[in-house]
Amino acid sequence: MDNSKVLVDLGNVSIDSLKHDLDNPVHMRYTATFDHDINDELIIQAWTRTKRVYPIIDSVLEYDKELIEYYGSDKKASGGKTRVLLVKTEEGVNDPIKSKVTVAPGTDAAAKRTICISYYERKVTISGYHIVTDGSGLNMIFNTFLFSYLALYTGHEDEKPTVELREGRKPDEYYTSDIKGYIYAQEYNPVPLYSLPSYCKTFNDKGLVFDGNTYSGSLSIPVSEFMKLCKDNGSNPSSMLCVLTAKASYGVNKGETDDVVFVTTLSLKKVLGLNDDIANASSFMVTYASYDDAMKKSLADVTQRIRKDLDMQRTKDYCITHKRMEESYSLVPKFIPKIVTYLGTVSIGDNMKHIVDFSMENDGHYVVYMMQLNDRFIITFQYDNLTGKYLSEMQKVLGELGIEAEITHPVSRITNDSKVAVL
Amino acid sequence: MDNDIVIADLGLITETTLGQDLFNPVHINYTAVLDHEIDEKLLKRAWDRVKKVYPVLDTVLKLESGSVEFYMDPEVRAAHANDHAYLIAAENGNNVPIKSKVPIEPGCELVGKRLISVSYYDNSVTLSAYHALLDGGGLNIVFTSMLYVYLALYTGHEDKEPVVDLTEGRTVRDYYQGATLEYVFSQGYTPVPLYTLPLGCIGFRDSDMVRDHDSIAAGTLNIPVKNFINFCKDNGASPSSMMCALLAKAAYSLNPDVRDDIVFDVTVSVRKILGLDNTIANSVGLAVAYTTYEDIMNKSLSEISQKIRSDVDLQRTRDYYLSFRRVFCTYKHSPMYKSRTVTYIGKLDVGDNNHHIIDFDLGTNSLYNLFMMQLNDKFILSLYHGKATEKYMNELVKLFDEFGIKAEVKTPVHNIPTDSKTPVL
Repeated sequence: MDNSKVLVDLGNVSIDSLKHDLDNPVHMRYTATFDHDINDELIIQAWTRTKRVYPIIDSVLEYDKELIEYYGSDKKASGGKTRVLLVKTEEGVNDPIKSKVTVAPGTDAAAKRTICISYYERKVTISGYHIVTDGSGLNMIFNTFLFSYLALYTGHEDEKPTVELREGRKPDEYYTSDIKGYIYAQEYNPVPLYSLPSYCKTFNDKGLVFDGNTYSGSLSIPVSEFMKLCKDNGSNPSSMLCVLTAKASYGVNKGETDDVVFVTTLSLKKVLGLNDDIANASSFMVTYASYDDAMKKSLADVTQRIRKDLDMQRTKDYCITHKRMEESYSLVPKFIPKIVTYLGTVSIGDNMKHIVDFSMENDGHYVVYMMQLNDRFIITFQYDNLTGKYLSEMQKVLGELGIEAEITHPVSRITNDSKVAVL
Repeated sequence: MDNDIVIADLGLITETTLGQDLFNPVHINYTAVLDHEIDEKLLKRAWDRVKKVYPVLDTVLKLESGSVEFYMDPEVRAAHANDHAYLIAAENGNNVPIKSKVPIEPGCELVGKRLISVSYYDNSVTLSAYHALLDGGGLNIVFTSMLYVYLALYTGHEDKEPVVDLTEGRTVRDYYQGATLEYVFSQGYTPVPLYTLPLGCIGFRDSDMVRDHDSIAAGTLNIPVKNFINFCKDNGASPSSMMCALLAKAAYSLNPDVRDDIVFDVTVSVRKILGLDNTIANSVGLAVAYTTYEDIMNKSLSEISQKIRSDVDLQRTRDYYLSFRRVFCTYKHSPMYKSRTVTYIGKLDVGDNNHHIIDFDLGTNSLYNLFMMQLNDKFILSLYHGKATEKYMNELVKLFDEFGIKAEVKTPVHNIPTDSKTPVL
């Protein structure tokens, strides 16, 4: 290996994670819909600028291919690790690909780059490998790209851009490759880990069938009304989303009285003060709602308790303790989780108004996402064959609280990535 | 389940050790060798008295959805993982000492399906039990009681202040409170942070620390108590932290190319931590500690053992134990490290008649463990290291010798006999 070509040494990566990226039919992706058809030339220019801001997105993976084949050949025991590098390449060009279907990163169509852009008519999608970046990292890259494109398209560039635009940085200025080493090097005060109450018992959704595909559906609600609901109850969007999801879950699972346990994703980089970083470093927080919590107690009591539970798990000391515990004890949940992700606000500044829709998709199951796009919150369910039921239950739950939800994306099967451009 | 007939609730099947007990070829057992041939009648009387002191020993297992056999099927068991396991009064059968050269399997027909069995032969008497019923410490309490009563009958001498509790007619709660989740969650506590290992510290085990087919290899060493205790004191170590340090030294000299850290699980007695001193129920905990190649090569034995001791002490508090159990009720306890276990059981001491006990041994289905038991003026070290047992024994003898402690091989490496459902004569 020519060391001068190595941009990032990811160290020893679990073969399971690597294989997941190599074989994943639906890589983590964000899609923005503009108010106009995308301009072929401007989109290439915008992506080129983004690559100057984050040069690692123009790299390819280097790893022991024979080892991966060995593991893939006959169900060899998992748990192995292999060294993975991100290296510069002159082969092929990582330009946006015109395609109706998202192109899989790492394929020939994407010039083997691990992060790529597909677009068609008014929609543009970024997708990437999870071992390279996580949801928040991919979002940062996408924001730089969307900002750059709309700046070119409108001729207006914000005076104080809210996205990263610095060019010519070295990878270590925006990419912490050894996040574990970074965490272990931090001074911290160990804190107690959150634990669930006694005999907290979760349940499987009734009639849930996994048919090998991933399904998704979304509804949207006015930001002002949702924020008023949160404010009136002394809660925040994540804790409110948990309780609403629990209500929907008991609605879908009539007669069920076991608890609902939530896992909510957390971007470690912000907690660790690595605000400019796009490396893969997410963690999770845990909380729960019992049947009584969700269906009988006051919304204020329960959302405030959940908010407190989550806040306790959001501190730097907590996250470092949690990650260290994970290294020593793996911390595999004993419960059946419902995953709730609050992505925050999609924001690229003045030109935001040209983005009319935004969505996140991946191969996840039993997940709920919420994000703010302009004056609407978008809530997305990926709940296999129950996605539609959850959507309408959530609509009902919100209706009972006086918020009218509009189903913006009825249930549909998430289209698998394509290895070639589809026109 | 009719609550009236439940004598003790062992908790959920998943939180008991039944998954292992039901299939264990060697249940945890203690053997005492006396200075005379066991008197069958006296042993029966002694055991009867112990059962009056601890009536829970005369119960049988009752599982929530049916017979024990019902749960033998792995799929059925998995589907009923959250069923409760109870101890109920036995309706038939009898649990009397059985004359047999090898331990009688607890739970079998021969002992009326009781989860504990007594067997004897010549000068030896063995007590064997399900781990779900008793842990090593609890087994020691029962074993000591039985030997005390037996030797009192045999010698006609009762101690003025017996070391054992022979009160009859107590309620089960007085002497049988396991560290079940129900108990854990009923306790007030202050959550504390849990111990974590340094980055990349995953431990190592010798490549031959494996079984030869299914055989369970063990060997025992004797070391003089006075000698070893003084040695520990001089180094500011506890017996278990010292044994960790010595085992680590042995491991690196037996594996000269290995630079990985070495991780230990040290068994801690939860009954003391929780103030449940009288309980015989299963209440065992583990504390984790480690040392490194660099430490072993460059630091003194006192530094190494003191570090292990302080790490273990940190994990030996009530708040720590309760925090640990609660966290691992939310998450599976699946350590990322490969550890070796050091268990200092304590002392076999029946009082004035102790000199009639001339030897002690234990049997268990272990592979990475070292057990320590004190009998009179000797520590008996039982080493379970699979095919690596012998070389570790030799290495330990050498190491003890270096530090002026005379270790003798009491029992060379041998295979632990598996429990039998019928007497072996």
